[in-house]
Amino acid sequence: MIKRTTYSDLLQYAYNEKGLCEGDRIQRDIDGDPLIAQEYKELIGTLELLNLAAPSVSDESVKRILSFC
Amino acid sequence: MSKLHLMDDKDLVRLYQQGNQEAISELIDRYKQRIHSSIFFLVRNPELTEDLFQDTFIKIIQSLRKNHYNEQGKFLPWALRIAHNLVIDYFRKQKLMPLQYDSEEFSVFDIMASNSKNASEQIIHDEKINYVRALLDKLPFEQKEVVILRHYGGLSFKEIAQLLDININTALGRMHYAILKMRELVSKEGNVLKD
Repeated sequence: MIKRTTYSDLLQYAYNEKGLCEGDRIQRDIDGDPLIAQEYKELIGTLELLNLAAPSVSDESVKRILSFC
Repeated sequence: MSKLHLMDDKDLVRLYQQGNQEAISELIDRYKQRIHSSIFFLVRNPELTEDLFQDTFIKIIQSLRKNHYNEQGKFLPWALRIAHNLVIDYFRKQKLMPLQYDSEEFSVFDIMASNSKNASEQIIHDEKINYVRALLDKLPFEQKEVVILRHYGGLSFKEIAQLLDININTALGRMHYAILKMRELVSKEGNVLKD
């Protein structure tokens, strides 16, 4: 039976959680199915959006932690 | 030259427990961003984030000193569990729901490198950052928690499921709904994201 790529598969693939063989299968589905390709493109777009929002750690906090060591 | 950055977490923990101070610096350096971001997006308060971030690493250090670390090399999930528990404890003590927003006086200028942007570019960039942070705040807490742990914390869905004591399919489902919700909000109101 041929497994069809689900949204959960795409999520795990986007985060490199799939092994080599399954990753290949998912990539082939993305390349061969415009609907899956669109879904994946939008997923990656949303994840890239999230990258914008991460704050940086203050050096002061790290210094305080290290002074505790 | 130090080879610490090439070592795995388990060896760094062992070295620290043998008295090598640089080993803990390497662990902090390796995971500070993920742990800090995970706390920040749960509490959405910069000062509280710094306090809980420091408390997390102090607790980590105390546990390592007492040889209480027994996670078979899985340092990050263990560290994020400590951070997560501290956040939940804080909300329990305050009897708050975990949805604290930034105070008005907080500026992303404090935390973002701005050396390559002029003032108007910086303002637009800040608007985008604030918009994305507000998007996350509009998610139900259970969905937001999974997004934070996966995207900013760097845990796998399996590790998130273990941490939150849920099924992996539940974790994946929450992430899926979160993505759909964010996408829906962006299509309705996301003009700020357009260049």
